[in-house]
Amino acid sequence: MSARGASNAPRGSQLPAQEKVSNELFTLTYGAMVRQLLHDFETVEEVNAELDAMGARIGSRLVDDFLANAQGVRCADFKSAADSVARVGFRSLLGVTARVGAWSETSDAGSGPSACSIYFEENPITDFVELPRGLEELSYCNVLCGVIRGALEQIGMHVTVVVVKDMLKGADGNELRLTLKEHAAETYPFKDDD
Amino acid sequence: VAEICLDLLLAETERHFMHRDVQNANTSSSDDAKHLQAIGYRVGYALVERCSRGKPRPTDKLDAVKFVCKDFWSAAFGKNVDHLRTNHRGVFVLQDTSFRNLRHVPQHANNDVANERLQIPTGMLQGALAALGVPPTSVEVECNSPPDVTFTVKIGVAP
Repeated sequence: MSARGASNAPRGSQLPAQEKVSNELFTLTYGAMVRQLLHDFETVEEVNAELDAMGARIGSRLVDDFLANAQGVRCADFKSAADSVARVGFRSLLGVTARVGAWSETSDAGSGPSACSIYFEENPITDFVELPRGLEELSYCNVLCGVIRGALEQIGMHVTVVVVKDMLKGADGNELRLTLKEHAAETYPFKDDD
Repeated sequence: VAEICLDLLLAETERHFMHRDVQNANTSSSDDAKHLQAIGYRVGYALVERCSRGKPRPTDKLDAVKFVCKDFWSAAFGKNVDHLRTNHRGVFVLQDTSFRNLRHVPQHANNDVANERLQIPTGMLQGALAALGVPPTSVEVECNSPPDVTFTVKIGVAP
């Protein structure tokens, strides 16, 4: 739980001051967008999938900006990448404090842990949000999963991200579980023929 | 929240709602624009409720539009409207010479690009005025050289 490796923590690293917009505007925009999606799609599953896909596209563009601005952020392996996402990414982009924990023991490849969780208590995208009856299946924060997945994909890490705990559904905190499936940088060069 | 998050969210929303018609031939692009405006409307409406809290309610159209130009505009777009003109008969022209939502649109971009990016703000303006008790008859937007943009708002005049 408290696997906060102080040694390789990107402690001093942070993004330069970013242009800020008000949380309210961001939250309201996201909320209105989700509502329109709910109106358009027939099932909640489709909305969840679309939120994830949109997040992935956002993430894949966000990562460029993030890496260009970030000083001293290391994303060489899964562990440091997850650390960067939680400590630098969440703080500078969403303005919330997140921490990483629950590292899985060791992966099959023996190259460090392959799964971890990101915990955060505040979540600006769920301000003023309450899930109405009948939408219990809606995964409102799915966009975050998509963003992380899309961002890490750009740096060669294929991960799955799922919401484990969601404060909108009465949990005492938010938890996203990251699982590394494949680290593409290690699989090069591909074989052309089979 | 970092500005880029909002930018990307808006871009993604626009992409989603504008380019659906590729898969779905029976929605026209004006439908898509309506969807974006509907999103903007809700944002504008809710945002006005928040930023007008504790302030006196505007008493007439001009007051409401002034409120939009100052308080609402800075909450939504980070600055005030640059020029406000009116004919005192319900037509208001709001000009913003460096509209934030267009700052990444190249100056000589195809008009459609800018137009797409202006659907949500148009809706926001409608929602904002509606929340202030003066629902506009029409809001038109014109943009000749981004990021300079002009909104023409008609309130209570026949279109």
